[in-house]
Amino acid sequence: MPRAFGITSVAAGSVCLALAYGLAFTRRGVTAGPWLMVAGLAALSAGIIVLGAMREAKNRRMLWLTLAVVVVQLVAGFGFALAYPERNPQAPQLLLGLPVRTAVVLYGVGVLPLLVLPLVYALTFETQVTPPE
Amino acid sequence: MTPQTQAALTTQPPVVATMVLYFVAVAGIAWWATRRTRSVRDFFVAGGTIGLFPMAMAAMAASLSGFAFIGGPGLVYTVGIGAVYVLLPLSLTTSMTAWLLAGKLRALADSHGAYTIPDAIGIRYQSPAAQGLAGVALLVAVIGYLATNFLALGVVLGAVLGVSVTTGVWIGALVTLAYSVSGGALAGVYTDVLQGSVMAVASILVFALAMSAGAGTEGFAATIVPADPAFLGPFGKLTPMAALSLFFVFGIGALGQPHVLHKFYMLKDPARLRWYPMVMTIAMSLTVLLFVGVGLAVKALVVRGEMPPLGRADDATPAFLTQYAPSWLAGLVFAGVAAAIMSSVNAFLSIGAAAVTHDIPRALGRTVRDELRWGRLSTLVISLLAAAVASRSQAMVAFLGIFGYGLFASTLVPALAIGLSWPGATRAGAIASIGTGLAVSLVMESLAYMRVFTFPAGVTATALALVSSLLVFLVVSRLTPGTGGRTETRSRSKQ
Repeated sequence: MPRAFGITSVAAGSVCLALAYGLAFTRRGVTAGPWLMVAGLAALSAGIIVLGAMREAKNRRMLWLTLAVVVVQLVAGFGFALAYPERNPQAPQLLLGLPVRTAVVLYGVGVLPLLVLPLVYALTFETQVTPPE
Repeated sequence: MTPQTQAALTTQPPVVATMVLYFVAVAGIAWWATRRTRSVRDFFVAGGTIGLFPMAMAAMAASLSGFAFIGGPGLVYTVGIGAVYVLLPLSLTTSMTAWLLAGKLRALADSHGAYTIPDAIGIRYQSPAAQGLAGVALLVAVIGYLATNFLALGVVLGAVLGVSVTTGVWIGALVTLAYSVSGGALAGVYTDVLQGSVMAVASILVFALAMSAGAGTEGFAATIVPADPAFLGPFGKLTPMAALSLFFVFGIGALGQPHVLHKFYMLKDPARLRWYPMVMTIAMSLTVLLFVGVGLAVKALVVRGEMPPLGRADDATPAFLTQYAPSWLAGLVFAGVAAAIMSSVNAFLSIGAAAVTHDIPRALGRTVRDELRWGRLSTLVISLLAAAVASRSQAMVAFLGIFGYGLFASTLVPALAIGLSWPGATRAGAIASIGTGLAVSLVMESLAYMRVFTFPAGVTATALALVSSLLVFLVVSRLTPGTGGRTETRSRSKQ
């Protein structure tokens, strides 16, 4: 079941990315392309994690939770940057020293997984990657 | 490098001394490793005797070329936050690589004696043809990568040692060749540990310097935003499509970089893989600090009028070091740049030699008898060929250099990264996707290079090749009967 979900997600992500690149050659690509890229990246990443990680029965809850976090941080982080253009580009609101939209992308998409994913990998390693003999 | 920067570096004895010291250390490691290289597995995968920390450091050093220290800061200076999309998927990619590939490749080394990346494809699909095709793709990419890396090494060594670029190319090539041919993967891994350490230390120190010099009293945002509002925007000066495309190419494409994946074969105890993403993420994060820090600092310094605008973006790091860093630190950074390039070159030489002596002959139904001797000879020939191209024709280097990352990504991500975890993957799907990646990369990159057409913003030949090969792999695998080969390989905690 997880494998079927994983490969379907990889396929859906690849199709979204192909559409995004295809649309880039047309005028509609300027608006629709980035959103398709975000959807494609989230689906592809989720599918890859499922294919790679979810093979054993134990610790699935933690992995599903991680998966949800990865999808949400990609969609919400990039989506926030795409959906809310800066109202005052010359003097934007700052968050941790950066314009808010930039801070959401850098800290949310870039820094948060730095702390979370390696830890989840280590915690789920015995059952997911190194199954018992 | 501008003549001013070059002159400033050449006249600094500490810079030259640091570089010479680094070469002496590399020679020492090579001498030690040569005495321990006795078999073909010693030569290509260090006999499978490497600990986690050296393996992760070697993977880090091999994956970061001179771009992290020279091209990257220049890209940040030019397009702002948009350049950071190259680094943004770092932790996602490291963990995905571990989940998808680390344990499986390591297990294939034990169960089937695999020691090349195309080996894993050949075993998975029970197909020497798929293995040979992957070997051809890797060989084409390796030659392109080697030529560009040798040229970059020539530029750095030429500037530091005060010799011509051609002489720099040959000095760099001969030093790398000496330890690659004699000590093989063992010398490669332990010089990588030295090289990775030099890179990390140099990056941390320069980052601290860049933060203090660049931020000034007002901070980066207050300095840069009024002068250039888009620079610190969420996509920098790139279009959203272009920035997200970088995330895709460097995030997903990194799953198919053989010079990194190859290191998993070398690990002694697979149970230690538990901490691989942690160690790798920390090492990578520290080493790319310079990439971001110098680019931002130079932009802020230029806006404040404390530094003249750069003539060329690639001068960001040399110009910053010349003006703000003590000469010993400049020496450490340039040793770090040379280290980054040499560690990548060493890994590419190993992959190229293995393709010539192992993967392609297997596809042709032949077995090379003395693989250790032929491996050394192939390393020598490939290296001399690439150095000759690099020293003779910069136009040829520029052309060959476009086939590298994209070829690796489009030929290996579907068939290897996805295929090792998906039982539905078939031999026909693997061969079709590797062929598609090879064809789309070569044709699209060549047409773009020759300016037959230009891609819209955000579209690159690498991205198109990767998407095409993914789709072809999935569709052909669905439409063709299963391979009946090995569908999944699990690592074992104790052998």
